[in-house]
Amino acid sequence: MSSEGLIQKSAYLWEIPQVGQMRVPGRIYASETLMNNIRQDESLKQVANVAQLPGIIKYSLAMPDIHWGYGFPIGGVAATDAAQGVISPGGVGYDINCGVRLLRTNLSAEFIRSQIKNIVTGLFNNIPSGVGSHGAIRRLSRSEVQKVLLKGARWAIENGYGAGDDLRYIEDKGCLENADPDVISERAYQRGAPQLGTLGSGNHFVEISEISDIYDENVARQLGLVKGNIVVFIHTGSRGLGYQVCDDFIKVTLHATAKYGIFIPDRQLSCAPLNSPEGKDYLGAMRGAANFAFANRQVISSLVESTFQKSLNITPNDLGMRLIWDIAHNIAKIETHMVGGERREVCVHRKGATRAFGPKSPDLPDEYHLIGQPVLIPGDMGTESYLCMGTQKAMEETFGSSCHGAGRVMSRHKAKKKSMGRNLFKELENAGVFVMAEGKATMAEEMPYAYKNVTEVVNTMHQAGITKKVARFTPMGVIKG
Amino acid sequence: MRPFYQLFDHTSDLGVQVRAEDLKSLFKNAALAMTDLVTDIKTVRNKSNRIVEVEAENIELLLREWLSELLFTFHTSGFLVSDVDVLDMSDKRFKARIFGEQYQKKRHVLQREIKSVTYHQLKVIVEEHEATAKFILDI
Repeated sequence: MSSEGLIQKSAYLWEIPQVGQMRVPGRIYASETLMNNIRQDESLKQVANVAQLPGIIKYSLAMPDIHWGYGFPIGGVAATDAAQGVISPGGVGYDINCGVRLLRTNLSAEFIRSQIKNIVTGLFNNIPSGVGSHGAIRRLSRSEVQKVLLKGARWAIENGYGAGDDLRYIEDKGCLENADPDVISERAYQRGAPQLGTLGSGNHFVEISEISDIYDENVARQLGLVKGNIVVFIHTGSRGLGYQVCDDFIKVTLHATAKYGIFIPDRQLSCAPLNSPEGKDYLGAMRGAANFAFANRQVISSLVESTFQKSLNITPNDLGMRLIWDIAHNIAKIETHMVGGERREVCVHRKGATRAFGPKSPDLPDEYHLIGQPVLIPGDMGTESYLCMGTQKAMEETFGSSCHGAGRVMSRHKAKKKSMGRNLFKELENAGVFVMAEGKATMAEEMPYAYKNVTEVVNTMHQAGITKKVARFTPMGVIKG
Repeated sequence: MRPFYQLFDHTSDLGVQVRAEDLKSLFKNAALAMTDLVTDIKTVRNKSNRIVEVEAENIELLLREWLSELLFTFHTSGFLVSDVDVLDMSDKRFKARIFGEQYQKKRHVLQREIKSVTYHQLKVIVEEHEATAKFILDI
């Protein structure tokens, strides 16, 4: 899109005026530097395209990590009216409830440094990528998958993966209500059955990081984070089950788009009215897939904990591993937000965006009532990651949403070319990060130079007052699928 | 000889452009390109075969359906395609025998996982002596 129509509203906020078929303006959070990157691909056009969806409220929003996706931009947020609006599978993406969880520990980085290869090798052996192979846990029967779809992370806990207390620290307590396993296809069941407890490939990872900076001592203390200690990030989603649900329902909604006479500028924006049978079915299926993802991260979390204990020969108490928070960054949810002074029920699509609820929001455990919801923003191997907290301003401006990562700036194709003839594993090891990866091309495509500067992304949201920085983490060891 | 497929730039995913002399070969080359993006196709042997049949409303959707079917086959049974014999084809229906073998961790170096074949910028163009297809794979 030409950037000519773009209006700079403040140092960190830009607006695409409402023109043509757009029902609302577009709004992008970005610094000047990031906007220069954003202008270079098709993502602004995609923000404008999303603004054409029926029932969209206030703005088609984009976070500073926005980049060119398929249909929706990645880093896009769109809230539609729950009664009059639509839901779009493309606004959630193929990896339904792709998300991140953060685990704290009692271990110091100094203690871990000499053991890092040992632990990363243990993680690599115990947590399968699941691509062309099977999961760390037995293949589930159809009825067992159905239970996962209904119970989410609770299924994992009931089956011995983690403790019940973990549920308090997961978005929606690890289970979206009203999931409908009956509208999920047999194909999705088949893809999901062997994949619970698998990491997947692409940008998915488990990462051991050092807490290298603390910006808010008070909040960090409440969360049990100490500078110089290590944490673990887990980034994965609903695996083949979610991919299949998305694929199935893009077909359904392509028909629905024609049936209900909805104009869309891109097939991948296919959608259905939320109150139509097609819209309701997708919502029920998507919730089931989201619950599969919550269970998947819970299982992997438990595998991480047991690997640490075995590799280091330490007790659970010495390890002190505890869940700080688990977020979804590819999801659509029915939420209540204040719009023009009124409480309204809306369907918030977050496609590569993180929920960032402020203090006193429902769904937060008592301990987080006054500090707000933790927002987890991983960088990528070799670059830092951040923990921030949601704010009241996020509730007012972005339907309680913020960025989800660094955001790609270089295509996979270019990143691969740039890696030719280089030993990426050695380069990262020299930079202090020990990496083991299953997918060899993935490694090249996911190198830090393919991403925007995550610090610039996080600072933009901090300066804009949407999320507040609490801590920065530097990677020490990573496994990738 | 020009390679039968090339990658084109797309920020988040993988853009693939496939060429062939006609539509049948185009569908075959698209399948082989997808195998080659998962693992080096030269390492995939012709050990067994099966029949795949798909239907769709037009040629572009048919191509996407065909590739999705192969992806589903790989994800559920680990079957990697080394060759394709087109048995029957119209604008709305495609039937082929696929040859290949089971993925083996020791034999096949995994390059990446393909999540899905998207509809975004999906294109099939047929000219007199050449057919081309463009599609974007979600990685």
